[in-house]
Order: sequence, then structure tokens, then C-alpha cells
Amino acid sequence: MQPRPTWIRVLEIVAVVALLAALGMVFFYAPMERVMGQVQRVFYFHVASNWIGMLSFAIAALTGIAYLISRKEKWDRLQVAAVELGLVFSIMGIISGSIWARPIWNTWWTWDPRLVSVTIMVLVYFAYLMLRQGIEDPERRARFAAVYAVLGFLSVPLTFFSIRLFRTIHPQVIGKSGPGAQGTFDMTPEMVHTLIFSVVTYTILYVVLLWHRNRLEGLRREIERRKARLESLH
Amino acid sequence: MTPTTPPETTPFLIAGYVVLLGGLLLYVVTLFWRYKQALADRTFLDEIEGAS
Repeated sequence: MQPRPTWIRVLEIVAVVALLAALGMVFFYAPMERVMGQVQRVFYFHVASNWIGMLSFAIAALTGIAYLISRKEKWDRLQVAAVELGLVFSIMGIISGSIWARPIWNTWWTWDPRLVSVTIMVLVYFAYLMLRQGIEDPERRARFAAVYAVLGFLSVPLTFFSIRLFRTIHPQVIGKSGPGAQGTFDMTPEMVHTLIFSVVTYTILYVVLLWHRNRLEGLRREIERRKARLESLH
Repeated sequence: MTPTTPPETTPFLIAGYVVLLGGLLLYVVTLFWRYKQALADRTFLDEIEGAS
């Protein structure tokens, strides 16, 4: 198994400290929004979580391209790790958004373009995991998964731009929200600082988790190979 | 102008952060658990390969 380098040990500590600091900023530094009240504070980690989801799927697409060019197993390994983490962060983003929506939109869920596109994105990547499960030959599985990760990435810009392209009630963080948006607010400098810090924190945390998930995947594959070799001997 | 009082939405804030932080914690725990399982499998394979 790949040993844990010093930089990842340092990053692990930085991630934990930054997460605590980000929580401190969310609850004590950022002011309370005057229309939505306390629930608006969900916004900081909700945005950070969705950002990581999309970043992770972008990494999966890039590793897909890298695999198709080089046929090196390390890219396939990293791709699985990126998709799994992308799903975890995207699902947390969806659930936290739904909790925010209940008092603001007066509903847990509505078939709004942003909510539909993010659901499609998550389902696309669940299907990626199912596809991998369905192919036994490792080389073929990696090749199909790489192509799928590249094509599946189309759902990411669709999700990101859905609030800009379609009529939606979802507020827009970067740029001006649409006329039908509900739950919009003007960010004070403290809110901007908190949002940026939360996004940076989540990115550091993501690097740590991706490294560990990638290492685990390497270990899992080594075990599979050794088991197959033993089975062929007996 | 009458000052507006924000609605009481603290329970939703708590629920939101329980999901966000709980989800992260749960993922870290499953990662750790999978590591543990994989290391146990590897030790087992080491023993079998050593014996054969």
C-alpha cells in the first residue's frame, strides 16, 4: 500500500482546522440574513458541497480522457474515487438545499430546472457505478467507464447553467438572479468572506478524501489480483 | 418604516448542518472501515501465500 506522505498528513490537519474555522465563520462571523433568518447560513456549506460535487465529476472526466490516451490503470482508479466523492458531496448538497427550501419556498422539493438537472446529474453518476459493476473484464470496464465519465460530464454544465438558461426559482450566487428567483439576498462582505473560506476548506478536505479513496482503491485492486492468482493456482 | 423580524428557522439550520457534517463524518467512517477490511484481507492473503 502506498505510504502516507508528509504533505497529506499536513493537509489532513489543515482540513480539520479549516473546517472548524469555517464553522466558526458561518455561525459567528457572517451576519444573519434579515429576511430568511438563521436558515440562510446553510448556504455556505451547501454551495461548497455542490462545488466539490461538480469539481469531482470534472476530475472524473479528465481522468477518463487521460485513461483513453495512456491506458494507465492509475487514471481509472482515480476516476472511481472522484465519482464516488462527487456523488457523496452532490447528495449532501441536494439534501441541505431541500432543508433550506422548506421554510423559504414552502416545500421540500419542486420540479424546478436546477433541481431536475442536479437530480439527472446524480443519476448519471449512479449509473456509472452500475456500469462498472456490470463489466467483469478490468480493461474493458476501465475503457467503457472512461468513455462514460467523459460523456456523463455533459450533465455538469447543464446543471451549472440551468439557472441561467431556464426560468427558475433557484437563486444565483454568481451574477444576478432571475426574476422568478425566491430566496435571493445581497451578500455583505462578511458573507462573501465566509463563502470563499468555506469553498476553500471543502476543496482542501476534498483533496485529502480523494487521496485516501484513491489509495483504498489501489489496495482493493491489489487484493483482487492476488485472490485471482491464488484461485488460478488451485 | 417597521423593522422586519426574521422568521424562526433555526431548526432547519441545525438539520442542514447535521446533514452536511453528518454526511462527511459518515463517509470518513465508511472509508476507515473499508481500509480496515482491506488490510485484514491483505493480511489473510499474506498468510495463505506464506503457507503455500
